[in-house]
Amino acid sequence: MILHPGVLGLLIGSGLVVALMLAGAVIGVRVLSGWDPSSASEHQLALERRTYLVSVLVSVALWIEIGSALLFIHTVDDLHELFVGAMCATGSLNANPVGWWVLATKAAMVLLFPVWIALNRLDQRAGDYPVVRLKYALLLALTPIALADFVLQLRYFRGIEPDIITSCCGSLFSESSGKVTGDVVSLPAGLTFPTFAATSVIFLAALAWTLLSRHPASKIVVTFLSPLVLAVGLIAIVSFISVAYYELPTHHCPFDLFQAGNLYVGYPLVTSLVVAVVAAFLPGIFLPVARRTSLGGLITKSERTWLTLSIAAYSLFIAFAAWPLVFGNLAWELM
Amino acid sequence: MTAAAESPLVRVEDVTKIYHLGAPDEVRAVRGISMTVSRGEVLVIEGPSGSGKTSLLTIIGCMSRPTSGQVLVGDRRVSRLSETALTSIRRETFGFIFQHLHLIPDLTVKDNVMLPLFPTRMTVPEMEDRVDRAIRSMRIDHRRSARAGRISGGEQQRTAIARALVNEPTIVIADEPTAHLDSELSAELLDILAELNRAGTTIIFATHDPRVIEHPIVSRRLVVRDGIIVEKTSP
Amino acid sequence: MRRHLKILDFALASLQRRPFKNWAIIAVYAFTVAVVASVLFLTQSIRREAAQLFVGAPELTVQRMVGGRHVPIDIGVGETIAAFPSVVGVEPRFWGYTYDAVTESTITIMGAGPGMATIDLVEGRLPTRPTESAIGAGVAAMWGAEVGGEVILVDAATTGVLYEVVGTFESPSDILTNDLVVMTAEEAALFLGLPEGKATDLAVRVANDNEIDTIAAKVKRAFPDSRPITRSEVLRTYDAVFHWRSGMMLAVFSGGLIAFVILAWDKATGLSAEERREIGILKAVGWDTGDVLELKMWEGVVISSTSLILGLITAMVHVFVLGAPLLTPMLRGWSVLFPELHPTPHVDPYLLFAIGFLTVVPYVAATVAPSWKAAVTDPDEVVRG
Ligand SMILES: Nc1ncnc2c1ncn2[C@@H]1O[C@H](COP(=O)(O)OP(=O)(O)OP(=O)(O)O)[C@@H](O)[C@H]1O
Ligand SMILES: [Mg+2]
Repeated sequence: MILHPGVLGLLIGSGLVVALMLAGAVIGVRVLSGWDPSSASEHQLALERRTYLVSVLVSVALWIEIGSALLFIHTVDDLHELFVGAMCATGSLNANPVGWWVLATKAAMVLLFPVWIALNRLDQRAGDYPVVRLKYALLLALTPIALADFVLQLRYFRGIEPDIITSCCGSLFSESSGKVTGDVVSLPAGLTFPTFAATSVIFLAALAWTLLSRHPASKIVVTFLSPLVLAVGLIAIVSFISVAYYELPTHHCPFDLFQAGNLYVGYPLVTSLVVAVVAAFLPGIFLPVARRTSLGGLITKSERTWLTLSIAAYSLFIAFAAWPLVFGNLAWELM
Repeated sequence: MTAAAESPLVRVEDVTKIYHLGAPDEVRAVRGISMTVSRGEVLVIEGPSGSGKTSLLTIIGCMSRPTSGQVLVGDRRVSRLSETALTSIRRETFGFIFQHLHLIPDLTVKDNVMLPLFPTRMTVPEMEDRVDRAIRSMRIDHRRSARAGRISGGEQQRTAIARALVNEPTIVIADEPTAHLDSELSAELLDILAELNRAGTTIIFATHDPRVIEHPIVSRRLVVRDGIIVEKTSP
Repeated sequence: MRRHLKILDFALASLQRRPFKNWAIIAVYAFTVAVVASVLFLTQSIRREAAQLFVGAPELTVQRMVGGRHVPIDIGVGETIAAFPSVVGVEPRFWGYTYDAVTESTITIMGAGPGMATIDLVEGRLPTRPTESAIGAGVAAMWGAEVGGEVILVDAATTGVLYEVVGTFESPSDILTNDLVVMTAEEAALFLGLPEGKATDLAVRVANDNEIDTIAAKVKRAFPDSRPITRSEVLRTYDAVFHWRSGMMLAVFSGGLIAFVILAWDKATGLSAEERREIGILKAVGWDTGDVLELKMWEGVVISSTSLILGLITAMVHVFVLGAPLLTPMLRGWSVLFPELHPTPHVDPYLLFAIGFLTVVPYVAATVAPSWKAAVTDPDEVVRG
């Protein structure tokens, strides 16, 4: 294993997230088994107090996880110097492909924890804990992701040894490799660009429609669209946005967007995409609970915020994506 | 204004409050009380020590939840609300004057009065404005920058009242407000509250102090003993 | 948003009301940050200096191995290698170590060659006659020698040899030249006792970086007893070693980190009666559990960022201004004549982030439960006084 300060930080961070989530899960199990809103017993009161502890635990876990995702990308980038043939973070990840799964678990947590926190806030403000069971069932589902993240990350760092000859972005993100990411790149920008443009237009139109009409069907559409938008957005980043920023037709490594050389443009780019997608994901999934319970009014109010936020964030994402295409030198030669 | 035509501000229905329910040291503080609070009245809840007055007041004031029974504030059922929801109703409707005042001695008079406004959406100028009005109405503006621990007992009491009023509550709840006051300060306090009541604020006292019970502003009395109402009078 | 800022405002005020307790936490916290940051700043700047070493280094070094040990190589091998396509030149190098019993230190002896070009002489010139030498700053300081003076070194035959100092070195990297004595190539070979026609190793210059690995493979095929080492291999090894060193040091200090977390826990749990009362009052006047939690969270943010800034400044002063006097003892051992460090101030945002993560995350995690405990105080408990 490589003893590297970033690695140490990541292991400590993930370990603490697991501890926090396990504590939350223990409370979750107790809530699921002993929750009785009609009772005023000491037991019930104690449980209600503990729900606040769970909110803090999950919020803190989310913040650590966001930091951890960033630290992971940069640590992996920093480590590439240790591998022959690795020229960027992609090379370090290929040195032990478990790394890609670590990236996936971190992304899953960053995407799913905010959904839980939104649900939790509504539940607390609604007054009669309308979705408490759903909330804790979800929490129990999130805990294994944190565990998986910790275990996979440990395996990743234990499995990489300096000097392993690895393929780097040169081969992974180049057209000849048989991997998925290679396929993404081999998709011609002539195809990915129109797809991205069309998805964006549809997504923004659906958001606007939902905001204006509040039609239940529109909310479902938006919710189902959002994972798709995320996927298309990520493909767009790998396929042509990163290329346009680097101004190198063959360099597709998306992680370099997070480096100083590209003015850290990866941060606003990915953050805006994630915020837009998570915010758009919410209205549809709250539809069943909104009908059933006292949440209705609160959800209607929150929905306006989510939808507006999603539109704003997605517009920002488009702006960052379009910037190099409009002002760069390379853009139209790609198409 | 006909009180009968209007629905009560607070309605309490067959409420009980049991501390440590299910534990060996279970205490039945309130044992089935029904009552209402109407707009504009001055209600006195009297009874000996330990009879359950404070327990009842905290239930009426949305500070704690009953073990059983219903509590309605306006038309909203609050008896089983979550703490967050309950607190937000409390912030909008009630102002509390505590027996021990409960000022933070290190904070200035102004900051003490401002305390209830921090967790609201109010802007800072709005807050300042509210605090100014509350402080001026209590005639303590000359002490606004003094620490609460360094002002006289009477000034402390006015600060506590200003804090109870700063959120412009419809109901002010005062739990044994005169218990630690000499007659002069008690009289002053009652004058202030009488004035408030004339301006339309509903007031609920818990006390066994005759100076309060016999004060002319009192419009109704409930006598509580061992957690139940044993006597109702409206002079 | 506004609500959050107001609670932050209140948090700032309430921290100021307990200056003693909070400054005590900040002091310990900042100290922890300073220790972690010093380790990372120091190893990073040593890494950077070490990387400088390799700027002018040959693309490929060829050594001869016998029984797993590095032995002198035939200079003739170099002529064969020089004939490979893409190879621009091959230079035999003569270098080794000598132990000086008087100062109890190891000195590096090196024959003057083209590799010297990247090293600046502070004064004088490179040796051109067998009796001349140029010496590094550390050696110069040990003997109190300067240009025009003399040094006596013990050669392979254990005879003391006297050299006239004709130059002293200054290099971007102290590590490179500190313990160095340079003599003419022939004299170095003689001094080190290398047999006629042999060199310590061969420096191979390759024109095209992409060809380095191919040429290394060719060398290995042509001379099976040789060990070709590419420049990037050396760099990677250095990198791995330094990561390992900083990781080790952090591991050593993790005891301190744990102590700090325990302190944080203790301070946060040990709410004074006065603070407990205060939280009760807040709850009684209309703050809910979430608001108090937010208050506690802001307090944590303020304490963490203050400590982080103070700790980072302390570490920068310690490492970049004072030369890390408190850490160098831990690094000694890899060279007896450890150079005096004058790390160039350079701070990498990634490093700052890693430091923040290593220190703030444990603090935050340690304060979660105590904050919650404080926040769930029942308001009606307070009412009864
Ligand atoms: N948190 C608590 N836990 C256990 N018992 C309690 C608690 N609070 C109050 N009690 C008990 O409930 C009963 C009623 O208390 P309460 O404070 O309501 O009476 P009170 O009429 O306000 O008395 P006083 O005039 O002394 O203030 C008392 O026996 C008291 O000891
Ligand atoms: Mg009482």
